[in-house]
Amino acid sequence: MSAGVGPEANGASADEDHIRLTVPARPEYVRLARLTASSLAARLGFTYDEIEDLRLAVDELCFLLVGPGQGRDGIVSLTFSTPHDHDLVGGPALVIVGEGPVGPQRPHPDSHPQELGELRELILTALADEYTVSRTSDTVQFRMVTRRRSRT
Amino acid sequence: MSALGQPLPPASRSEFVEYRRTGNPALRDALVESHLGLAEYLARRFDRRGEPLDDLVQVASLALIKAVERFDPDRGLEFSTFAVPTIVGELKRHFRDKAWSLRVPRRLQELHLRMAPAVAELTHELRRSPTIPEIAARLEVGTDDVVEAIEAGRAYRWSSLDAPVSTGDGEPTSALAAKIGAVDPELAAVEERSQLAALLENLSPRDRTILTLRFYDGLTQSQIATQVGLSQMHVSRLLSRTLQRLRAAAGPTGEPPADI
Repeated sequence: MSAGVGPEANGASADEDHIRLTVPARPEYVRLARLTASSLAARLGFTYDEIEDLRLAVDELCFLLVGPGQGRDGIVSLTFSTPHDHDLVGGPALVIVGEGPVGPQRPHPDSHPQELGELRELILTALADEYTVSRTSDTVQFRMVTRRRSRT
Repeated sequence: MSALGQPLPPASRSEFVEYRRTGNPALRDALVESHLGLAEYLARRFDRRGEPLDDLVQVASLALIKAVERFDPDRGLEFSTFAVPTIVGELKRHFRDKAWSLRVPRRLQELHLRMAPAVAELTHELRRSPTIPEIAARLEVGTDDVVEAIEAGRAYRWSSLDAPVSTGDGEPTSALAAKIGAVDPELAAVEERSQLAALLENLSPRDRTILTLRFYDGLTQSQIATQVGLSQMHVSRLLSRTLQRLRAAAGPTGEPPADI
């Protein structure tokens, strides 16, 4: 699953590593996004707790792109990068950028879009160092940055 | 937090500081218990969406335990600010994982079960969350295996161990969780159930069927024998072996399961 991630991803290289993942916009593939993110974070020295947080955040953002239930028509593209020229304050970071199809306009009768939006925001604010979500008429995009915390 | 419309339990910051310092399990249990209302409240927000409320409360309670263990009062957040996202995130993931029917290789499930105690030990030793290479070294596996085992943990199907069972031998009706020997009625049971759910997944289809027929459906050993085409003796042996494995894995928290 770590295709495209070479040993140089360990942080020795001055180059920024990019890993691209293109999957159908269906829930069963969110797992691949979590795995890829965890694998890269592990290489960056994230702790177990940080990786658990990261996985929850990846879940939140990816489900924004694939929607509930059976998923959506179309594909989700994800780019994972590990910039090595991080500023000294921030520490090693993992940047994930995603894009996917917008969902149908009519929400599921059982869902509470307002409330879940609020909760999603709460979750992401707590778990990601930075995130943005934007929409066009037919796509949803996100960008998230998570940093390894300094260890005491 | 006001958006959630629920008064939260009184701040117990000094207790969290104390727990962080000592790691005292009794204090942890007290902290978890004093916030169980929060877990249940959040679980109820997801009720009537096709999952039994009991399961949701269980998922939320486990996430609460995790939150109590990980909460660092020095970071200046209120506990609830920290706990709510963790609990809600786990609840949402519980729903989503239903969409995923991939089978996780047994090797990874077993590694996942070995991982939890290793993470707990390392967290205690290092006084911080361990890195993946640290976990890998402790378990003598590769880092990629650890990453995959973390993911494997999400493949659990939460079995309803609260389903009443009849022993058929004149013993009082009880829940499977109680049968398997939960000591501390509330929390221990919750923790053990998570391990048990994983372990039940690990059983062979035949063992699982027999266990289900016996404790969920309440059939007698003879009835099961007829149904699966084995002798009653054989069913009895298989059952006791299975329960032994379950008990071993449900041993005291923090200790590695005996035989996996």
